[in-house]
Amino acid sequence: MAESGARSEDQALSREDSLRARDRERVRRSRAEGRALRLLWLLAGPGVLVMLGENDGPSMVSYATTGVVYGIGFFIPFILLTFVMAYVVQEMTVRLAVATHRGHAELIFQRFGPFWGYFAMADLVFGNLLTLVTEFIAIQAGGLYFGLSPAVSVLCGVLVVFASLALRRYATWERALLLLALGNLLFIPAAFLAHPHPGAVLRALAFWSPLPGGFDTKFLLLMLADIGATVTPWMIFFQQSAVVDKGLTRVDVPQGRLDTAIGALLAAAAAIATLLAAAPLHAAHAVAQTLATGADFATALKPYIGHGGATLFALGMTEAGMVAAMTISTSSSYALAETLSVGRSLNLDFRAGRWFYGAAIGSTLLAAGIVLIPGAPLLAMTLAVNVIATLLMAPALLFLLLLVNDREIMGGLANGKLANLAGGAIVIGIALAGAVYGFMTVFHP
Amino acid sequence: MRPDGPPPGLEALEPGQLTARRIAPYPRRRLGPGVRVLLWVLRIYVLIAVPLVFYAFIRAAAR
Repeated sequence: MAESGARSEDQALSREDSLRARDRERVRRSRAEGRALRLLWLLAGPGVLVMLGENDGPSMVSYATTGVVYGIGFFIPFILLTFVMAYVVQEMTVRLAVATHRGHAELIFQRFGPFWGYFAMADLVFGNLLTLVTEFIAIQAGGLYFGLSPAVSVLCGVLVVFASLALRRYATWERALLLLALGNLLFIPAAFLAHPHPGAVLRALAFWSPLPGGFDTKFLLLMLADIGATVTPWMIFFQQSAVVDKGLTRVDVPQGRLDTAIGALLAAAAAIATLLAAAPLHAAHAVAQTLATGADFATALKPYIGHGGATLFALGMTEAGMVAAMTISTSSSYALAETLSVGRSLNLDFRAGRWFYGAAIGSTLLAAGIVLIPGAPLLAMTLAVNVIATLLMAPALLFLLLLVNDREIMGGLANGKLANLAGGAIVIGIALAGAVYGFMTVFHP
Repeated sequence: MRPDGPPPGLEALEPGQLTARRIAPYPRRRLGPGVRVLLWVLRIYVLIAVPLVFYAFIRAAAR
């Protein structure tokens, strides 16, 4: 009994707790001094990171493809709408995190039992591994545009991920990643270099026009792909765990919401900018099927947005892959460590967090290694990623709704009737769209 | 450790944020009939979805 008491005392005074307490003390002082902007600066991070992280390599290719196929029109407000939906979903993870101080994977495990716990963890970790492969494909493609060999690009990507983990401090990791994630905004100057007609953009935003001619399979697939590019299972797991790791509490919910909204706005701006930057290829009647990677788009766009614009585009694509590799590998770490009930924080040292860091290091090395295997079925993996992410979105969203309505753990932060109506409709819509996309991708000839 | 709050130096944390407290799991949720049905529907969905994922991967790899 005395031994167990001593152990609990040791755990209570762990490095993780001390570092988090230091961060919370800064928050307490800023709140007491009434410094609203500083408070937001201290509490923001997970929301911006999750939204910009989801603007990853394949997502940016999806937005660029939309620009090539349909140009300026219906898809601009549609992309904005998908980020509104992403905000509604992600806001629930903030409330879950502050109410329970637990990650998403451990809550599923504890509240619904080992079957669903292991299922959620396994599907996330497997899906994340394949997604990591696609991020390294994006990094490799971006490197090719700048004349780097695949091995050098992939090695650089791996080293950046490892360097971020070596920080062993959540706050520093988050700030470093935020700085890198702002590279997502490189698509905005690239879009300006495409000289889109302001009237056309405003008309598209106001009237959702022009509508693409005909409601065919191609249109439906792109629409569903854009939804899949905005809301995915790893985001739910990542933001909830990151909010817990950062140490937000119930009084921080407004800042957590603002953080998520700012992230959604920035990510929507980058996504729409990607579409606008690629739109000149629509006017030139380019064939989207010939453009598979970020480097293909950058090369094809050079005559229209110039060397500078194409360079920004290629850099943006590389950065998108890099940031996503860091957030997605961390999301796997959180989920695995939470399910195994071992140390799960970026504030841990390597000994205490060997499972946590091991998962990120292992999945990064595996994904990077797969990309470098000559003749590896990379296209098959990219397709499988989309199918896994979209088909398994339904279970992830269902558990999110069940947990956020669980009054025993949520207390006053549980969904109200209005939130359930809005959230439920969006969740059902996204889950159905995901399932339709998954089935269509499989059976599309 | 004080039973009602964090130990000295960690006052800025809520008790539930302490690593030692977070180790204790929440109890299993008592599931109502509606949730039970939902989870069974989910099981069937998963049984259909997982083979589809493998099928998609194998088909794409064979191309």
